Amino acid sequence: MKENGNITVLVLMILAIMTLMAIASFEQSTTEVYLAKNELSKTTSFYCAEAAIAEASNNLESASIEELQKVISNDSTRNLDWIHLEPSNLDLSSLTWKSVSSILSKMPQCGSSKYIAIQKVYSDGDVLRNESLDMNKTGDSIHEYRLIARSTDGGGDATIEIGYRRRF
Amino acid sequence: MKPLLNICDQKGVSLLEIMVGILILSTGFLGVASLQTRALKGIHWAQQRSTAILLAQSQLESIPYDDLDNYHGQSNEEEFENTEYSITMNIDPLGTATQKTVEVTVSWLNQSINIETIRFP
Repeated sequence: MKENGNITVLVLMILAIMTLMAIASFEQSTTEVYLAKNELSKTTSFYCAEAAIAEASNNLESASIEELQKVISNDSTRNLDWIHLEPSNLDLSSLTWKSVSSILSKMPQCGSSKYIAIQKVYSDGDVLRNESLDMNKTGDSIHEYRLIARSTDGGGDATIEIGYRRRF
Repeated sequence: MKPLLNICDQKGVSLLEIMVGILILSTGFLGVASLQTRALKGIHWAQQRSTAILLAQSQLESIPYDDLDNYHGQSNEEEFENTEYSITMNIDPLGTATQKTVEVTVSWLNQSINIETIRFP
């Protein structure tokens, strides 16, 4: 009786193809799961950064004018060491960032959030963006800050930047 | 004269060969099917989670800043692809300032996610 095992070979080939297809769809599903996990961590980071922005603007709001003047004159003894005059190279990682503190009691997941502010210095006669010309008639001037907050939770990473103005 | 029926001339496959083939194929299919089930489960999990994140985010962004307190403790249900999602909002004051923490929790089946941020009214 001649036997060459044709059927076994055929069966094994079909099986190999099926296995390949199954592995491909399994890989796809694994990717999908990673995507969903990353999405949550991205969203969490984004809202942590937003909360950090809220804390930063709160701190800026309650800062005394003397302290803010110290920032403008670049006094090294100032308390608000997280506000910087606009640096010539925008390598933000070399600047001093401040970690969030007051929001941590309610939002402990935001432990890694930190923020800085960059003050744009205008000289007399400069017109700010979106500002009418008579805005600083009273002798006060507008000071413009860029608040930047960053948050990560190991997976996702978010950076938010908003503009903020204070008049003094 | 050739004999009418010669057993050596017959072509075909033996029953045994087919049976072995079916055995291997069906065992293989079982494995493939279980892998497929796990893949489907994963995709389902991911899909529900993505939906929940989207629902939480859209709810959080739709709370008006000047009416935060009214939304405290509110919850609503949303059905999406045969899954019930329940969305709960929690608004708490934070510190002495007027800022409030806004927390949105979305739960479905036996899972839940929550996102939280700070809003100034």
